[in-house]
Amino acid sequence: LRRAATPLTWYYGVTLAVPLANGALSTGDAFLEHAVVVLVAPLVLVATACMVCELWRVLRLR
Amino acid sequence: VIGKTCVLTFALLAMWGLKRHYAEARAEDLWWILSPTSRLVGLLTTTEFSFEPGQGYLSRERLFLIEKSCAGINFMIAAIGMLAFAWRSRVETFVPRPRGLEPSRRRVPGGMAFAIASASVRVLAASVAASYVAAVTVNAVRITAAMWLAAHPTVVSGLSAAQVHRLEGIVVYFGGLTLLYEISQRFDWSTPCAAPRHR
Repeated sequence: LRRAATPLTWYYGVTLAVPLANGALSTGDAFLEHAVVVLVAPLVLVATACMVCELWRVLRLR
Repeated sequence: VIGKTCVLTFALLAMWGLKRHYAEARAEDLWWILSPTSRLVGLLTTTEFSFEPGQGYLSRERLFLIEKSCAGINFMIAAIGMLAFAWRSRVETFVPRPRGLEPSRRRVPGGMAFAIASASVRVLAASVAASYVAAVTVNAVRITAAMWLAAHPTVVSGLSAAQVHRLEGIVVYFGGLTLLYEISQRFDWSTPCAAPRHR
């Protein structure tokens, strides 16, 4: 998770912070829906990758 | 500290400039990224793209248009910032240091300011070049996947075409950014730097 922190920060910065700074909230629910997906999907990806790595580590130790 | 601040300031300026360019650019102005991307997509999908003035690169065979919004500029902006941040401490690799003095007694001579600025520009140039290559590659992969998904609409059921396209974009762009960061951490910067003799 620590290794993903830097790319995650820059990804959120460009996909969420920049549009927010440009007034994307005024466009209504469309941006909010987009923001929720953009916020959650990378976290799901990171969690999945962590689980796969952990599983791989456990299997290698056996 | 001066070098790191210098790199991050230059990177922010480059990101802002690129964003401004993207906001006002037409498809013609983005040839420098759309052209190699369309060529790479053409290689990956064995499809021919031709330039349509004012629109972008079109595949008549697949009815697929690579337009301005497909340029991957936002990915490139994120990559420039991320790489400049990740490589900020590498400025020291390029700045010659006077030897033989305690760190507390080292002064930054006048010429050193130029050396720090020059080193910052080199780190930024490396970040921009790597970001450009990554943006073209990752974007070509994303467009290839989008074309494949468009040709196989029943693969992901329960989601609309727009939702699948959005998820695919997030997976490829975030995955590409993470991969780029991992590669950047393994990059060897051990360039020999000729330090001047202290008199």
